[in-house]
Amino acid sequence: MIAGFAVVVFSLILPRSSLGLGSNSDFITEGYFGISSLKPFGLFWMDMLSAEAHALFWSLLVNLSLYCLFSLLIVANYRERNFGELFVHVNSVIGNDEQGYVWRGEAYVEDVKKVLNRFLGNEKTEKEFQQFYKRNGRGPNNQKAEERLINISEKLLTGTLGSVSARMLIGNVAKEHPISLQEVLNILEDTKTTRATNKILTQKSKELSQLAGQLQSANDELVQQDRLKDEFLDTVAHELKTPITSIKAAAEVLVDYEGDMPYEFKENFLKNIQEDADRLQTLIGNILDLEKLSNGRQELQLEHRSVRDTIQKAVRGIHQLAEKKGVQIITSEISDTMAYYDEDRVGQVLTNLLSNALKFTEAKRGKVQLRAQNEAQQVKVIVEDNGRGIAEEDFQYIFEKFYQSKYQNTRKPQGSGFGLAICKKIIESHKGNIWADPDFSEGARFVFTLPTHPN
Amino acid sequence: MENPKAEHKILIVDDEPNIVMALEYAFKKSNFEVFIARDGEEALQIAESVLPDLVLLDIMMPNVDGYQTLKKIKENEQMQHTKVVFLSAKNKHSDIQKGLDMGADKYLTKPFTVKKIIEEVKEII
Repeated sequence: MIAGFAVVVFSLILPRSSLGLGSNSDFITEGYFGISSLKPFGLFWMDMLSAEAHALFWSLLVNLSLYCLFSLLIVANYRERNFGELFVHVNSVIGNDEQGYVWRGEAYVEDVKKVLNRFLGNEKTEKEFQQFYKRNGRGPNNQKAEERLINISEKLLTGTLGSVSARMLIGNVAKEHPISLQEVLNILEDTKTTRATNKILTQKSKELSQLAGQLQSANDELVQQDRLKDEFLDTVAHELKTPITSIKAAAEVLVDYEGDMPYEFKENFLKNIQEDADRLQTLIGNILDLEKLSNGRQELQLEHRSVRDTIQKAVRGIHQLAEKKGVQIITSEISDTMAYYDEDRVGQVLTNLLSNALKFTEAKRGKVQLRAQNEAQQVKVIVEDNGRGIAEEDFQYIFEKFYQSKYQNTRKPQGSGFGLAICKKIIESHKGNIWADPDFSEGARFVFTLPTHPN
Repeated sequence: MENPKAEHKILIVDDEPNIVMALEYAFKKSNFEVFIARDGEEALQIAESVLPDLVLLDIMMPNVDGYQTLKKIKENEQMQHTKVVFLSAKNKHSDIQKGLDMGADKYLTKPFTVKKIIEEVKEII
C-alpha cells in the first residue's frame, strides 16, 4: 500500500504540485535526478497514457507485485496451510472413510438435508440418510448432525458438484471448529498408515502368488514323480513276469508232454528254465540294490584303495567272456593312483561298464580300453570301446532305470535296463560323477570320477 | 515245419525266445501249423505270405509293437478273416480295453498256462 502510494506521489502529486507552484520543474521533462526513464508522466518511457491512468497503472502494478512477492516469501501458519491442503487435495484426505478426522464442527440435520435435497433430489437424500442411520445404528432423532454425517454429505455433494463447491455448501450450513494440529497429525498419520498397510498388502499378495507358483511347480513335480514311479512299477512287473512266464510254460510243457518228448527238447526246456531263473535272480538283486541306493540305506565301506587293483580285479572277472567273444581288453594306461571308495561297489560299476562294452562291440574285432587318470582331488576312470556307440537320442536317458535303447544292435534289447542306473547311484553316493562322452565318435566312452580323499 | 495233418495255421509273435519255444512245441503237438516271428515287422512279412488263421501277438516288442502290427493286419484285405489274440504281460483293465477296442478277438495275459492258451485259440478258430 505504502509503495503504491509512493508511486502516486511521485508520478502524479509531486509533478502537479510543482507545476502549480511554478518552481523548478525540470524533473518533469528530464526525469528524477536527470534519469530519463524516471519521468513522472512517463515512467520507463510509458508516456502514451494520461497522467492519471499512468499513475494508477504503476501504483497497482507495484502494489500487486509486492503483495505476491511477500505472500510467497513468508511462510504461512499451519491453519492456512491445512486449509490450502484440504481445498486442493480434498479427495485424498477424505477418501471413502467416513470415520476420518477431517471435519470438526456442528450442524443441524435439517440444514444438511436441505442442501442435499436441492442438489441430489429428495429420493436419493432419503435413501442415503436411511443407509447412514442403518450403518451407524442410530435413529434420525438427533437434531445435530454428527461429524460423520456431515462428512458423508460432503462426499455425496462432491460427486455432483466437485470438492470445493461441496465444501463451501457444507461450510454454509455447518459451523466449523478449527482443526487442531493434533488432528492434522492424525490425518497425516492415517494416510501414512493406510499407505504402509497398502504396501504390505501388495507385498503379501505378491508373496502369495509366488508361493502359489511354487506350490504349482512342486505339485507338477510330484505328479511327474508319481508317473515315473507308476512307469517303474509297470516295467518291474513286466520284467518279472517275462522270466516267470517262460519258466512256467517250459515246466508245463515238460510235464504234459514228458512221455514222447525227444531228449534234446527236454534238455532245451530245462536250460531255458535255468536261464530264466538266473535272469529272475539278477533282476531281483538289481531292484533291491537300486532301491537301497536310492533310499540311502546302502552303507558304503569307504577305504583308501588302489584304483589299478580294482580295475584289474574287474577285468579278471570278465576276462573269460571277452576271450570267448574275441574282444580285446586294454589296461596299459592305468596310472597307479589311490582313491577313497567302496571297492565292491565300484567293482560293480566297472563290471557293468565292461559287460556293456562287450555286449555292443563286434566279435573278434572288438576292443575295450580302460584308463585311469589322476586329477586334482579326484581320479578319472575311462571305459571306451569301438562298438557302435551311443545314439544321440540316448544320451539324455541312458542313466535312467529301465531305459533300454531302441537303437541297440541286437534284435532284442539286452539286460534289465538297470545297469547304468545302478552305476549312477553308486558313483553319486561316492560324491563322484558319471557320464557318457558325447564327443567320442569311435564307439562309446563312459567316464566316472571318484574323490581321492574323504569329503 | 509243414504238417500234412495240420488243421490251422498259427503265427506266434513274441520277442522272448524261451516263451515262444514252449508255445511252439505245445501248438505243434495240438496239430497246428506254427510260424514264428520275433517282432512286428517280421510278423507282418510272414503273415502276408502264409495268411495264418490266427496270430498270437505280444504287445511290448522292439521296433514295431503289437498295436501297430494289429492295425496293419486289420488293414490288409487278404487277412479279413485272420483272428488276432493279444498275449501280453500288460494286464491292467485299461490295457485290455485298449487291445479289444483296437479290434483284437481276445486278450490273454502273462503269465499263462499253455493248456489254457491252446483251449482259447481253438475256441476262437
